[in-house]
Amino acid sequence: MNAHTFAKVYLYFLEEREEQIKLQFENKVKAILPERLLEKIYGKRPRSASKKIWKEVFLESSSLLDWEWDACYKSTEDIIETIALLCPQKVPSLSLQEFCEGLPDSPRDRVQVVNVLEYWSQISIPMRLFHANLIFGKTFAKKTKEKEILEIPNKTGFFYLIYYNKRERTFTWGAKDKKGELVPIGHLSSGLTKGFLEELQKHVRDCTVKKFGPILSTKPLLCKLKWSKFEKSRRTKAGFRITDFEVESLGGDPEDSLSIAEWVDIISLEGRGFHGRTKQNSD
Amino acid sequence: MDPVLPVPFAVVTHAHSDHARAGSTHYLAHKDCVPLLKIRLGKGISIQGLNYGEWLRVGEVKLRFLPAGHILGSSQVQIEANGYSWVLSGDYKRDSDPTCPAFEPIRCHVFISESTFAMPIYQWEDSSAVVEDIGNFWKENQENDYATIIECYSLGKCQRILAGLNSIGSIFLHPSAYLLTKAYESQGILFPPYQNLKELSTSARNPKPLLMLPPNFDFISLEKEIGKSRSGFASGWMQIKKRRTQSKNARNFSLSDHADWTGLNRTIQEVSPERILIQHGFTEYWLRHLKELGKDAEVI
Repeated sequence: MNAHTFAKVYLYFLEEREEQIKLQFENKVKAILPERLLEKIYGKRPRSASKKIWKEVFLESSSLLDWEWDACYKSTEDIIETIALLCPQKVPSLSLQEFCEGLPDSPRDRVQVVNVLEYWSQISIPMRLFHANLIFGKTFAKKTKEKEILEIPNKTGFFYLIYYNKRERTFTWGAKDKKGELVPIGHLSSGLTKGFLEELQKHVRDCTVKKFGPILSTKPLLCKLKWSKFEKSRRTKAGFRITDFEVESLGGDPEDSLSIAEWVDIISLEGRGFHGRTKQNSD
Repeated sequence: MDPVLPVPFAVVTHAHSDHARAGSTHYLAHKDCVPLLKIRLGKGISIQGLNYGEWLRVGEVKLRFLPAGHILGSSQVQIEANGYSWVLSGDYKRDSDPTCPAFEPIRCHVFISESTFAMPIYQWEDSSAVVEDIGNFWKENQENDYATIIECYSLGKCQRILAGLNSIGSIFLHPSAYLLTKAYESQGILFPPYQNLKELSTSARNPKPLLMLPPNFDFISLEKEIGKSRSGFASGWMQIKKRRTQSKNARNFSLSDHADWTGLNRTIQEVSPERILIQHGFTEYWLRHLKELGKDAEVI
């Protein structure tokens, strides 16, 4: 859950609702949740409030049944979206989206807009804690994770084109793992010209239909890629991916293509320990 | 009604391909639906058109069509025999649509309803605002020297968007949508000027045009004629972020020709049937919801 999005939805819920509903909501929250959990929502980092808590809160406020919430959440797979779609019915003045877009980016600016003292005197202690967090910005301090990137300019190698979506112009390249299965290591989704696509199509045709006649099965296409960055990635099975790359030539000898293990060896040799902080090749 | 396989006498609720299928000996549909069915199923089909509210006796029962508000010529079918009344909703929506008459609820004993978007997360914004948003998207693209491509279904959605657009340049329709739009025009529906995609040439580059194409159309091939382009997709499924992120389009517009959660439940209240039969969509979900409200409902 993104804390800022959460706060936007939450503020919307509190501020754009009629007073009666607002009060009803707050009372319901207090009635459902023990003090310890209330603190969790209001006083500390909002992201520490679990999905279960928010499910309970919004089930109460929206009069939905448990299984109805589950079905909706299963469809959206996003708790904030489920809350946003289910709970705030359209208010006369603004839609939720308009409200969120109208909010300043920094929560501090938001606080400056309202009459702080007057507002402060009206709100409950947990809410004061919540707003205190907003004011000091601790809630929204983002921990930026340093990417582990190894730069090796103009590196080339042979990889298999394992997925090509003609309409969306997305290309996924891969190499073989220990079992001989193709594992993705790079993804291109733009920057390919119509000329290249035509060249690719011609190459495929030359290697298949024109050479052998009607085909029953196909093999992954081998290409030579040129790139300059290896990036550690949890999203690829290989554990790394290549970025900033381009296709140098189409076709090649399968013997020239290296396996994932061989690439990992090369990375650790050239990067002198890729596992760690960002390192750059001094060459 | 809306038979899947060829039958001697087919009652068709509207001209979408999942409801109107070729091969039947004789068809019955609303009169506005007739030209659309002739385009879809062939000019040679044997077809009879009825007006809304006009009764027709078929064997031991009598039937009539009522507006469903889905697309032009879309109908609910009411069947009566021995004082007992059934209504088959076909596809329907409760939002306003300049291209077809609004849904007309009618009290009946058994109501067969669609349930495409029968889930509380599907609640539509005002459709005129969405169409306005599409117009603004076109304008914004023109200012940035991009052509605009709107992916939408050729029958119904295309015409609904087109009818609400202000023309700020040439509008090109895919040939299939073009033919169907002409059929709409023949029924008195007004549209801004539009052309067939077959007439597209490099001269259409300025001002940057709007192209309305069916989903999955390979518009890369049009690069030569229109230059750079940005695309948008209009569908009710775009309500969900998951779907929007799967889409490669620059913009996605949540616009549907089906009833949303509120619309479906409102319809059940207004029709107040003794028995509800549900088909097509989130059937199990809605069934459970209706049963918990104490309704006699069943999935067919």
